[in-house]
Amino acid sequence: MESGLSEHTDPLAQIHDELLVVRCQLGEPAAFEDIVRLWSDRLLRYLERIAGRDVAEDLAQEVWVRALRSIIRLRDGTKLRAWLFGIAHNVAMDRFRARYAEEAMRAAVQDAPEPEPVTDAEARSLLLNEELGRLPLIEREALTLFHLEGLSLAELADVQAVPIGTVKSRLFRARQMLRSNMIRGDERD
Amino acid sequence: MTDRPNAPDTVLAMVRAQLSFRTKASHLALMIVAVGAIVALASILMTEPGLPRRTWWAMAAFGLLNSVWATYAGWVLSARRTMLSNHRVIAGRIAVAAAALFTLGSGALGAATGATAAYLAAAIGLVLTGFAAALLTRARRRHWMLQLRRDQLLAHTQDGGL
Repeated sequence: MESGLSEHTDPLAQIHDELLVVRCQLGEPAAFEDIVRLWSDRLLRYLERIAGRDVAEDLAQEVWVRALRSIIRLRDGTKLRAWLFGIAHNVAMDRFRARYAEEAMRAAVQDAPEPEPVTDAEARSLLLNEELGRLPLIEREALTLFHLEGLSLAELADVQAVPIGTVKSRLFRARQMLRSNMIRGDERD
Repeated sequence: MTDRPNAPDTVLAMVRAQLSFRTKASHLALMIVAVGAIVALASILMTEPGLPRRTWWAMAAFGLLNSVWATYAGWVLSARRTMLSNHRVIAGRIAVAAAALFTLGSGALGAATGATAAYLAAAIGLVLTGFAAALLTRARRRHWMLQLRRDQLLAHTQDGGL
């Protein structure tokens, strides 16, 4: 898995994000609907990876409730993506603190259905997905947000509320763990 | 990815309900009525020394009850129901109108009856009207700045970027 250390610098995307935020803050209902349609699937996918499919939809509802209540206070609309994933991160962490032990999360991952690969490429993709799910929560979240959701290091640092150096360490550790698990998975096959 | 056809629709339904001004209007009305009652009761209690003790305590308890309702309505409007920029302007106008009406009504009652309590209520109403007007001014200024920023960003997107 290659590292992607470049920042998210697309100015047009940032303008679109800020415009969406400003329209929401003005109270345009269509703007909220646009945000939901743009981000609903990605947030749900992130929550499924972090918290499991059985609770992801509930958590997603909570994420949108919190986003709706606090968007009026979002001062920098260009940070929309990190802000949304930050809310999702906090919602997931609140749920874990309240209801789940680490053993319950590992049990949920172990209950996931076994993949049935058809081709070598698909087999590898499914193995990657499975091994990603076996990583510890923090490392799993870091890889998911950085490589799958395309957040920059700075955005990931905002979401996890840690310095960028810590984010880099987590990503390095996560890749090492995932690489080791993938090798062991290949050897099993 | 599994088939989840209703997930965005469920969220959209929740968003529409949260954004509806009708869901906030009832709590806004509750807060206005509660504050008006507090002002009226406080004015009477402060200017009518001859009230029987039981009457005094009953009116004080009623004022306290209205304080609880006003606090509850304020909490709902600030924490549970999103007040976006356009709704803050609307709410500000309603608050100014209600406070001004209360002030004028109290003043007219004072002029008609000479009751000190009515004059005191009118004075407090004037302060509240000023406070509501300040909030409305701030809300309108914020709303105007957001509209300006929106127009700038729209112009940028039509130009294709920075």
